[in-house]
Amino acid sequence: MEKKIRIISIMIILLVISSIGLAQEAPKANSSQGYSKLERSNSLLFKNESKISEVQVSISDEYNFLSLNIVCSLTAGELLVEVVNPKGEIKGNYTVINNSVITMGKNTESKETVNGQMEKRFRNPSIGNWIVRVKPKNATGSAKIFSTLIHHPKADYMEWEQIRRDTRPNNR
Amino acid sequence: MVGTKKEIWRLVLIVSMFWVYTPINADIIVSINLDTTKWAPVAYLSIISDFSQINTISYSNIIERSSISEDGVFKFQTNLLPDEDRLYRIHISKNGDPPASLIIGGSSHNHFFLFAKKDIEIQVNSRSVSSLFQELNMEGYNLNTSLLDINIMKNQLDTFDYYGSSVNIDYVRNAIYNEMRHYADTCSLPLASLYAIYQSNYKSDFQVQPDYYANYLDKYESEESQYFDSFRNQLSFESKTNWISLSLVVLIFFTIILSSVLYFIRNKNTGKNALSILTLQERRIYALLKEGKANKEIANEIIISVSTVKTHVNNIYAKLGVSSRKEILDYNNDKT
Repeated sequence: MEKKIRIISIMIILLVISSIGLAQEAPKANSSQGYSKLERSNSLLFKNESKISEVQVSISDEYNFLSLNIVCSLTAGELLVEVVNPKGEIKGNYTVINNSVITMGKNTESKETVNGQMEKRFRNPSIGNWIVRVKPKNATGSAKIFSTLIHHPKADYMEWEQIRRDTRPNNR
Repeated sequence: MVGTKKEIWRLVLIVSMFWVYTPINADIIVSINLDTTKWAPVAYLSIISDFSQINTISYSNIIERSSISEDGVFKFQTNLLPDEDRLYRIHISKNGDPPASLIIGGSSHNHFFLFAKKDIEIQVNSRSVSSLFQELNMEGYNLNTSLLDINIMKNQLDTFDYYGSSVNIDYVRNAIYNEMRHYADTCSLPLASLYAIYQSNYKSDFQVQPDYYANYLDKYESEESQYFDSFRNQLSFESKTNWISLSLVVLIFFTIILSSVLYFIRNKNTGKNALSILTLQERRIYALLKEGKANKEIANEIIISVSTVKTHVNNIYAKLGVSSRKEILDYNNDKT
């Protein structure tokens, strides 16, 4: 009898634990809306820098939309930005060069900033590690990389603006 | 009568000279919908010296600026442009952004490209409300008609427009690249043809079909523009890189082969040397071990104690790098 009670107690405890575990598992998609969104940003600062930096964006089969926005601002030097897919193909690039010097007075120098920005969107992006590669050459300035991963059940049929509106936080 | 004739001829000469030497007011005239709450009312003209630098922004490329009127019209004079066809970029910066500001893609895409040369008259219209330079219409220069055709193909490559799996995207992309190369082959305008080649991912394609590019360069051998010179240099570099890579591969291959042969020879010699370093007694015992004889049998045959046989056997094991009688039986004198 005692043994039976012990076995039943253990089973009840196990059932309770597994229920708690299931409840705590964060839903990847909002069950009421059917989509999910992951936004991330990385900032890079350069001061007479020539070392290559890479920011990795990992794509799983969970997401069917990727948006990358890379914004650079340079006060000196050069900066090459590349977006590379998991197959190693360059899907977009631009270069920012600042060699401007404006002398304002005897002892004052001013520099104009040069800005570059690239927005790339990929429907059904390749699964794997996407890389945003920033190659500075004696560069002083900054680079910001904004990545947005979205799962939207109708991403194949909708325009980006509609997808963005649907997945805004206050739409949930 | 003669005086009148002289005067008429003089007048004709003056008018002709006036007509020849008066500068033509040729402009690039652009008309757009400008949201001045977002965009600064100034347009910039940059010269693009190399097709590989169309996405490069720098103050040194900006050659002219023009104010934009309230109805969205601005112009750049072309009388000071070079005589030869060149590629130019016109861009507008956002309010608060520096003049040298390039935005690629998205609703804030802020530039477009056009071919132009000295004294050419070009009309550009974009009445798009959602973005600055979408749905461009260019008139006045046939090179730009080709440019627009190529850019339509290029825009199809934007994966945002794709509907389907990644496998379909690769298929469609390759089809578009082939279409661009076909356009390059059939276009009668060399610069437009070259621009199409640049948009067709030629660096990857060059690895696959170098003959196509060799023939392409032969076709335009006489073209002296800086764009073609740059393209020739680029392909020459790619070709050299290929040779270097190929040479490295061949070198590595032969190094592996040579290392394997040397390793084989060394081990073959090592096998023979290993046997030769056995003492006379050890060789005698080795021969008996090869016959499968037990320690006691060996001891009786050579007339030594069993313990001495065991010592010799251990020494033989150590020298030949084996650890059992079975390995001795399998041991080949010509190999380890």
